[in-house]
Amino acid sequence: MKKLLALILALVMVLSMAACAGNPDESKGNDGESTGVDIGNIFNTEGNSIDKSLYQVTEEVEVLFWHSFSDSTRSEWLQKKADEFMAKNPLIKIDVQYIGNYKTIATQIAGCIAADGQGLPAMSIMNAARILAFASTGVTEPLNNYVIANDDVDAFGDFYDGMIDANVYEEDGQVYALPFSISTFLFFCNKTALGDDLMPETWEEFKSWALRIHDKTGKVACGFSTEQNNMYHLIMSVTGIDPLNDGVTSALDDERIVKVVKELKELIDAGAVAMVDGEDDLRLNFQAGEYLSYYSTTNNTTTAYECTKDLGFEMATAVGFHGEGVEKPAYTASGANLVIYEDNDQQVKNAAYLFAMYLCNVENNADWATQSLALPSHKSAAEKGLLNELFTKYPAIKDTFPALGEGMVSKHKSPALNDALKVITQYSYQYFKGGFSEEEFDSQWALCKKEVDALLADVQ
Amino acid sequence: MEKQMVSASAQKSRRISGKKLRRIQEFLCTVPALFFVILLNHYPLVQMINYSFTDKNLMKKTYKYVGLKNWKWLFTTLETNHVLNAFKVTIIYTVIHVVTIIVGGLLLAFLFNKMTKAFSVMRTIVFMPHYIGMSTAAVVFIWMYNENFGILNYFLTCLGFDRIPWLSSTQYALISILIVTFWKSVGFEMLIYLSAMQGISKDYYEAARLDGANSFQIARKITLPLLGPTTAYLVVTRFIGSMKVYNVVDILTGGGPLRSTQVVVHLLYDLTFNKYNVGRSSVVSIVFFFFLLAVTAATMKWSDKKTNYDA
Repeated sequence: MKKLLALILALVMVLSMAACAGNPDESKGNDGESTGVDIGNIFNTEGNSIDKSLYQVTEEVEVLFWHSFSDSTRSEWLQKKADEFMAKNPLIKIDVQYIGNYKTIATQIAGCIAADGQGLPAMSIMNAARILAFASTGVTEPLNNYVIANDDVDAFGDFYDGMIDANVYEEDGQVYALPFSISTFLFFCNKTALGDDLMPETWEEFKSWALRIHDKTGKVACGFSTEQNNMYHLIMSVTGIDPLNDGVTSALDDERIVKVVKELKELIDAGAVAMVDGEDDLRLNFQAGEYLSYYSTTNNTTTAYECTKDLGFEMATAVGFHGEGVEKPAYTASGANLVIYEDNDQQVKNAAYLFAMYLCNVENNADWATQSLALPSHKSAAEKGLLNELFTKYPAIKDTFPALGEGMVSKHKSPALNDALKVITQYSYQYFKGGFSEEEFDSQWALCKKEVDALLADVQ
Repeated sequence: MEKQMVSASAQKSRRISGKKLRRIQEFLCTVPALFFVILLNHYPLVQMINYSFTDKNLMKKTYKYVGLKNWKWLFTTLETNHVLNAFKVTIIYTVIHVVTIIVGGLLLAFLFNKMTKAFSVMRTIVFMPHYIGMSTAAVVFIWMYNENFGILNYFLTCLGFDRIPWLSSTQYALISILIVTFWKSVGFEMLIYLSAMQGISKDYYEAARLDGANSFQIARKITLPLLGPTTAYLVVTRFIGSMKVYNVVDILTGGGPLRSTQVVVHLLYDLTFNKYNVGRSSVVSIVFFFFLLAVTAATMKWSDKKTNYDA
């Protein structure tokens, strides 16, 4: 008994000491109220004068740039552009480093923050999903003043609206990243097998099309994967409803959403549509001629082309379908962005901004798109004829790429977005694969909603 | 006489101070090691306790104290915070993994306990997976488990069975992970048991044979009891190791589907490196630490009572 009491007392002491230890600074979190986002007013300088000299590079600086492109074509392109930029800006030295994928970069950034900023790069590539999460912690630099001071407002306006909106943090109305390239969803179709009977425009047409194609060919008309944005896009395209609703309570119990999920299950059960676990399976089935179309990201366009060029069938792409009363299919802004890290010398940040803007200018952006087959982030890239080489090489994307960019919208800005989408996708997938029966659907879907609502509530 | 007494007393006092000095010297010799143990083991533990009372975010340099907020989160959102589920999955994984590898290793050791060349080759084959990194093995198994193109489902369909969604079904995902870790670990357990078997004195076996014991009786009454300390060692070390499983889970299933394979360390990683919430992950870590401590202590006490160290 004595031993137990002593142990408890010691534990209480350790806990109390730990609670009292340390002397951290107050959190410098932003306490500004939500201002909402109006694209036209993002760079409104009325009433504020910006000292442009603060955003100039007047001394020799080195910019450490972390990126996520492991293949030689892309990393060599970045180095080439860095060399060009350094030749034009002798005061600035750019150190281009490949670090790993977005997740690795984010983990490394966290390590640098923990080490009191040591090793922190001046800028890096980062995916759209992390931009606002980074902005909320203050680790990245708000860019409005840089854009205004460098007279880049017009150039900035040439980015697709959806991409700009996706990078605006609602708490302070500031832009936190420059859109480098876009990845969003599109349909890859086997034109040789489908002929002119390609992807229909409405959900109702899609359902009958998929069944008809399956009856005619015995193949799967369209394949989907468990990639988390899949169900999000499908639900939004068909119903026009964002499943995360107002970010407080999800709309998963909306009967229109439930109807789409059930109708998709009917198509899967009929063999007209397939839902597989992983993008590789989609592509392999498409290559094997088992799936006559599939839904994947624009990032995979090169792979899709490369994999099908020797298989004897022509490939086409399609934007996809939308539901009744919904104007157009939903494709949300994802892709690579350039962020600048706050904990750097001002001159370094100024130089990083100049280099980021150089990489993102319309000419370089179009060149990048041509080299990498990524969707360009500039509206005028196609209009100015900068994508002609790309479209000549890959005619199937000529109409699809600009249409995707024009229709692009920002994803829901809840920090719980990714986790919530994972939950929705996983419950849907279990249902599609027979993980729970039709009778259990209501209770399981209610669980899904409960879990998503809890995630939304947790970030409030 | 008096002189003699004084000198004896002086000698005694010198001996005592010499002893004291030696003790102090010995203690001082341990100080550098102690310093590193405290720095590397105990300081992080205290810091973790400290963080559990803060809103520390991995992406922020500063933090502030929030009292018991993180502890409140742990206990008031048990239905949705997935901590209980992670503990449940971890315990199920650990119990099945430890039992299967120890029983499997023991059976293989009995099977391969012949010191001939042929058996040596077979032992090497069984042990070989141990050389392969867990991440490499997991990546290979991802393809083997693939529902549409994997070799396992290919054989199943050849035999007339349905394809199994190895990694994407809540029913099979944990089993799939257990198969990989069993395949990877069982050879090592076999080797430990084999070396322990070689250490058992031949006299016991000769005596038993003279008394007319058959092979089964010898294994049950002599080999197994004398392998007790080895089993106790394996249970304790494998138990702690299994409770901390992470990389194979992350690569094969990422904790899914629907958290059916989310073990505690994966949850901790998710809280720390995806949500950057060090406060919450510290709270879960502390609970996990005391849970491990209690279960390890209980296991050791049990093994002390049940184990025969006479061999």
